[in-house]
Amino acid sequence: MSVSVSSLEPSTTTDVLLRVEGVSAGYGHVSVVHEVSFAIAPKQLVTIVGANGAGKSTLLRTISGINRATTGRIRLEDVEIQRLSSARIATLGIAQVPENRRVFPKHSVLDNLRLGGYVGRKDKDGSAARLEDVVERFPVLRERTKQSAGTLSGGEQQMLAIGMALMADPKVLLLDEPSLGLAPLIVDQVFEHIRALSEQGRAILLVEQLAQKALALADVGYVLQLGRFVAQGPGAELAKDRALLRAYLG
Amino acid sequence: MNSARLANLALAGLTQGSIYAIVACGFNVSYATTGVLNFAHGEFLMLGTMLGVFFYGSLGWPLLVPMVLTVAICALIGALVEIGAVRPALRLGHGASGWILSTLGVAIVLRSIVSLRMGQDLRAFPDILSRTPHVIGGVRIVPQQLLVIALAIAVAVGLHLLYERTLLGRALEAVSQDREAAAFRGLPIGKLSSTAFGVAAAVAALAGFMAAPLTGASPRVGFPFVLKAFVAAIIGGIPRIEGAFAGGLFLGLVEVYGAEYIGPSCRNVVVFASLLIFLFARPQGIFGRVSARTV
Repeated sequence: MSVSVSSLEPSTTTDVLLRVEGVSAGYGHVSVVHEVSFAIAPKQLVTIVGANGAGKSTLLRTISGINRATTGRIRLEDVEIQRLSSARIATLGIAQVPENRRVFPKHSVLDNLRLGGYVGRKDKDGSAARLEDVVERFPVLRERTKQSAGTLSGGEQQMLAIGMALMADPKVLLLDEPSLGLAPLIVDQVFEHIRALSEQGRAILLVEQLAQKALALADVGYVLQLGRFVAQGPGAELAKDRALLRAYLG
Repeated sequence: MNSARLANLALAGLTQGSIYAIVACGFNVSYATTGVLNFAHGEFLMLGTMLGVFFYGSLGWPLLVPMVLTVAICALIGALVEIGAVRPALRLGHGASGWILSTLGVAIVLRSIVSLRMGQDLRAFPDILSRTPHVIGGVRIVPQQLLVIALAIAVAVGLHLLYERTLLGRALEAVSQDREAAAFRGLPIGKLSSTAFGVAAAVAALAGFMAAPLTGASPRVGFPFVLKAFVAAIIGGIPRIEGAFAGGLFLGLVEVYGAEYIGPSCRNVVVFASLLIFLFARPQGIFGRVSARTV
């Protein structure tokens, strides 16, 4: 049922944007992610699905440098990043939309966006252009630039969190459970934005519990269970494999 | 008791309170971003007086040079304290409290170095503005006192603008709201933390320097001020800048009026009594907000 990895992964290093090789990570002495490997090519959307506690968030946090990999290597283009600080990794071109959105509730929407663009703050023209792009993409944010982020609805906060990440103009966008706690209608809107971003050529790594919808968007999908990939294949195929999804995601 | 007497006391209280306010503002700056109460904070006020007495008093350089130099040296030491004493203590994990001892240790080391090099005596500090009072309608107005009060206003307004109007300030504030969320956005937490400590130290040193003609310079001048500045910060509501400002002025007035009407020996009693009253009646302080805290 699962397709072999080699046919999906880009064959040469030149068309790989982000490569994760044999990465393990965890908390203290407890390992949560075990020697995981995968790669993202430019413009690709990769989805990792898995049940609660499978290690999805840990994997994303390790890529963005919040957590440390205990083994393995992570390369962004030709730079090894697994030992760099989260600030350095952000500067190199990885932005993460964290689980639960984690916007700065007391700051205004505009300040949140400006902080999202902190890594590119010296490029004033670029920052202004990116801000324009973000509020065009999410018109609801334009209406509320002065409002404090804590007063936004969950869906609006999710748009803001994605907008903050886009302000950094990342080479790879990491999204950690963007559907969490949102009404189904809002989830569809968020996923529509993700699809649009992908179609515009942004490389995306999406991690979700909402497997079917997230896989349907993906070029390549992976199923993570207890810190290991147990299935992988083209996103659309995995999305249709109900037996598989039932087995691993309940 | 006539109104001129009241006004004179108010001026004295506001002057004393202005020093508390500036030191308390610095306290809040470092606390907001790192969650650390810097027990060495008062030593930057002390360094402000002692480096000032050296550069301005002994070497006799024109005012601006010693002032800038003193503040710059203290800002640098402040940033180094964060890097060397606070960051390693926080690395042990959430809720680690090694910084209590490490910042206390830094305070002792700074005080000892200055004592060894320059002696323990209280030294007079040359005038910045005149200390001769102008008597207007029975009120004795001392230019040097007005300078300290003006400095407190300038520091509070300056910090307020830093926090509200600059991206650096917004970033410092963001780290205090949610440190990990800030890390997710690629904010350089370490750099921002040492910047906060540098700014806090600079502000305290500036207060020490500018108030030194009134307080005198000594290696032991820091502690009493920092203790009362801490009380002022709590009364105002940590970590609000406007709280530190209001709390400082309030405390200075309480202290001076208390000494006058209850008795000079009760100076410190009224200060800490007002802290107790606040802790019972309004523990979040004048400007503080009640917030949940995860342990």
